[in-house]
Amino acid sequence: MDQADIAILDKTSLFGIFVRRCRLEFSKSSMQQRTESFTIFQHYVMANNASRSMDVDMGSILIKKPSILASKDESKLKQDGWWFSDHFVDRFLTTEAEKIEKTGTSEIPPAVLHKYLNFLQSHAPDIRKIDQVRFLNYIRTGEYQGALTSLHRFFDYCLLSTETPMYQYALLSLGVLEAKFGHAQQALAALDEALDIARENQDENCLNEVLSWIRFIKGNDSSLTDQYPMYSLADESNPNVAYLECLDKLSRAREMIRHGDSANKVLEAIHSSTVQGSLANIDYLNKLEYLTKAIVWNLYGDRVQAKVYLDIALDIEQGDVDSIEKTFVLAADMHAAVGDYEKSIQLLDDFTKKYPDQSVKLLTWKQALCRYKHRLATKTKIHQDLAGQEDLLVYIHPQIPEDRFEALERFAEQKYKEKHPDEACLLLQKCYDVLKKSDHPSQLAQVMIGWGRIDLDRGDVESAMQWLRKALDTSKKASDFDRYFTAAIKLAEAYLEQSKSETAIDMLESMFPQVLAQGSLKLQADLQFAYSKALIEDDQIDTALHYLDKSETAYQQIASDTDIQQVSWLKSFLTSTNTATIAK
Amino acid sequence: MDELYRSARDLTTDEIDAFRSQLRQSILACRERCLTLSAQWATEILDGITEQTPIPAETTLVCTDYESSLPPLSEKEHNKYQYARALFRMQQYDNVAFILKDYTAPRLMFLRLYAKYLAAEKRKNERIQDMLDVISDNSQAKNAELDAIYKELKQFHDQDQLDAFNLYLYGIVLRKRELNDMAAATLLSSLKKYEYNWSAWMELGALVTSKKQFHDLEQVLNERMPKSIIKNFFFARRALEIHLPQETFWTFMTPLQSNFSNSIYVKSQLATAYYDMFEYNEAEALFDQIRQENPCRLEDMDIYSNLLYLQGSRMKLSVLAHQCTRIDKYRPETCCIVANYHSARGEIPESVEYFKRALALDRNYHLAWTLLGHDYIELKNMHAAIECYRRAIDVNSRDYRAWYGLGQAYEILGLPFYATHYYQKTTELRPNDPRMWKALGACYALLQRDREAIKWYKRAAACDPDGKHRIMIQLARTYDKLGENNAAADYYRRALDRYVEGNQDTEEIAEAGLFLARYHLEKSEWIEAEEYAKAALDYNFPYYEDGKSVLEEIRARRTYESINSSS
Repeated sequence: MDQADIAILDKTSLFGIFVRRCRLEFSKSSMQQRTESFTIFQHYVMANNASRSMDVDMGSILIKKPSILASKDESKLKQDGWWFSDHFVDRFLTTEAEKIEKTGTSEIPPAVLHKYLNFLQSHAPDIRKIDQVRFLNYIRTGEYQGALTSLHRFFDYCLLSTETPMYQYALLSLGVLEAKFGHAQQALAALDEALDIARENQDENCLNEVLSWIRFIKGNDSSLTDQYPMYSLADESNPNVAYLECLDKLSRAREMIRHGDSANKVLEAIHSSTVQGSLANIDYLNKLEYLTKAIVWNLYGDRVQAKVYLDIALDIEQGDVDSIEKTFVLAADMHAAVGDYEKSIQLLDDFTKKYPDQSVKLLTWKQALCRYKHRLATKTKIHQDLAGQEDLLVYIHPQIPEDRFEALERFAEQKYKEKHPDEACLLLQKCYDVLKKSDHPSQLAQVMIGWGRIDLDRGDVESAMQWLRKALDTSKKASDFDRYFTAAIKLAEAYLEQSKSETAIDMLESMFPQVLAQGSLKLQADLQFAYSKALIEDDQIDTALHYLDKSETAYQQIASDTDIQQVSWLKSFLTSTNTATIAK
Repeated sequence: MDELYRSARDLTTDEIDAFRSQLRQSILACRERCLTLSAQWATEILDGITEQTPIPAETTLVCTDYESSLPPLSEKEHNKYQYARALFRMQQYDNVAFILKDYTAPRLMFLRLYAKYLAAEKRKNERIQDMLDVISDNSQAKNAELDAIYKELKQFHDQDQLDAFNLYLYGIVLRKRELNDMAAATLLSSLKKYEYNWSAWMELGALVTSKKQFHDLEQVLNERMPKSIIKNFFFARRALEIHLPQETFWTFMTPLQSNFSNSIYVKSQLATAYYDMFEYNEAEALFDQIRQENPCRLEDMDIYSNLLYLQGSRMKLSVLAHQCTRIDKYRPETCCIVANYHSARGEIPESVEYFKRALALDRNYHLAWTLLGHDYIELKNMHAAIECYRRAIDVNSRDYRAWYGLGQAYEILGLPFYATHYYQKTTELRPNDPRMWKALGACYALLQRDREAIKWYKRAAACDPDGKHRIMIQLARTYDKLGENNAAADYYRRALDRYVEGNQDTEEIAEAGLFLARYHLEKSEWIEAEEYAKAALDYNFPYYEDGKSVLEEIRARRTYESINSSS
């Protein structure tokens, strides 16, 4: 060592005081403590330089040097002189627990984290937090029994060592766990009990969190939500409270979209959450906020805005795994709407590659992938037996009612196309009966359109028009762009059946700017097809043929086989009639 | 099932003779390796076999068949071995490991590595400080020498050079490393090479924690060791420990009971089994017999003390506690017995102190953890009780009493939903125990989920044909709460019949009587109503008064009816 490197330590300097305190502590320590300190020091001295990092944050150690912990031979740890204090282990566990609780994931893959926890358990068994991280990790990998056992174990042990009562948190965690596994009844039972205990102990933070969760779980059923009154937040400066409030506002916005509330109200809820979140510096929710905005704009038919927000949401790394999945699925949906199924599939593949462990237990993306693969196969004429699987997951896993109804409606449509009108009617009737009583206007409109379509095909124009008008009103109430215009196109077709071609043409022409701006190929093709039929009625055959060509191209792009057939049939009919007329 | 009953066949005299001879040899083989528990077990079983003319060569045994199958020790090795064994007896384990350093003869290697293992265990236990006051439980801490021992044994194991005892040690190490499948395979091959090492059986038993594992192992052993007698001892013990159905225990115990009727070990197992099956009188008689035969045997006396506590035999418990303290007051069992004695006298703080002492001597003593938990419940210290029960479960996850205790503690804390998880565990472990189902039902009743409560009460009633646990009355009350009067009346009637049959005197008779009286009153069935109402008159406030008013109402309505009909 160079002489210049040696600095004389001033006894009054900060470090000097620290060293003096260390000496004092050492001289006061018992023989056993000294032996322990010596062993630790020995390990430190024997360690190679790379791992000589006693005061490095445990989290960074585990992330940056996983080779040390992931080493197959655990004795290497000892030989390398590896040592870390309980304090570091505690810090590492706290960081991990917070990270997983807030975002639902962590940089450390579940299997590796499990290994770390086993290692820590054998070296620092006194730290009970290991069980906490363990149960959060089990939630990540979807192992219910493991999660439940670890949760009970964690709280059984930590009750004695804490001065303030913890039961409400035990129950809250239990409720959250049950909710994550989709056991709504069990979750509500636990949360109800948590509510009582939190009230008894006047724990406002816990109370708020419990209420948020209850609202979240009951979100699917508005009649149940009303039983829980709004709560006031006493401490808004608390980031946890702000986080919960933002989350609550976002879930309210989601409910509003679902129940077809006005666009203003929905956007207001999202914006107020954004403002509050940015004031309290909460980054975790950014992704969810942008995603919600993208969903809203997509629903209202503003594709450009939707795309912008979605791109931002895709760029944000931080966020819980559910919103990440939804972002990817929405992006895939938007690509699929313009017939770019390859891109959709690629996006979903990217998602699985990026989040291999978490994506395993999620269903929505799997189902979307299945659907797009099926469409792509139809488009490229490569046979793949995926049709049956497409909506299977939704039928057997009816977690989100609107998804289920949409799938049932699709199924009914398919049955109808396959010339099974009775089955289709039965399915629609079932959906209609349930939806009429619930608060899902978008889905209700969809079912009404379905009825309208069937009645129209059967020749019962009056009834069809009634259904379609109802659908028009309902989708307008829900600000559902897609369904509104679908219903309007069908209504125009109904006018055609009544030989009111001029009304139909007027209606359809007025729709063009908005439909083209929205960008959905299916809607565009439907509109063009209907328009061409109207033009035929009005004897504008050439223009009709032009629109028929356009709609055929669009249908081909989205691989809608039945529609292509219909267009081709009409086209060939027109061409042959045209030729015959010319020949005459 | 055929396999199951095949093991229940009666043993022949030749088989028992061969077993006796092998036991004699095993005492020597195990003693030479300082496996005192195995040697003690073998001696105890041997002592219980009916006296027959001994073969002189066997009584003065110097070398066993197993030992002769191993390469002989050189003189130097023999001297070192003797030195190490002497040190081992003095518990100088580090010294043993040092003395036998570099020796690879099987017996020496076993002693060296076993000593190394025990030395590290001792150090680990020394680190444990006060149990409940400071969070410093190293029960899951790792034995520091485990990796080194594993490495060395693995090397020899891969070359197939381990003898039965080293394989046993390797099995222990593998289990500690949580490589349970490998550990089971290793222990099985150790037992295949030498089956009379009781410690290896015990270690194998620790890996069997479920019914399925039990029957799988049974099948494997029936194929590999069809004539083994020791395996019956093992299966009977394990069936008892993991609370398998009674039939399974008796399948293995019946042949042993007839052939080893004098064995104190067998009697002790039988007494424990009776205790577990709630046949307390039989259990007490057997324990008394054991104490008469050998008053100095402390094994299983903790269970006896529990039994006496439950039977309310304070005198007997006091005598037992005093005698055991005189024999060895630093045995965990003794501390537990004394604790039970204090508990029976209502001296809970003293009882807690003794349970703690028992746990200081053996931290894996799950019974003491559970009983300490019960004491804390008495002291209304729920947090400490919960921790104790949890520790008991960590030692033995099939300890249904601890699971039940946890459920009870949370129920007392006013968290019935949280408690259901623990009660559900107990029902998994004791599906035929009505108390467990009843507790679960009671929790659901508290949660106002009466339909589910009824479901569990009915399960409990199905497990309680004698009606000891008063489940009918619970069912009746729940149906009454739901307003289903017919069902409630049916269950009240059944409950009442049971009480009358059993000559029981309880206020529940009055409760049932009053309900049934009102029920029949509504139906204008005066005779029945009057009869039931009279049943309530034998009891104090409020039943007597209620009974009186119901009787008056019956009279009034009868009069009204007769006037009406005459007019």
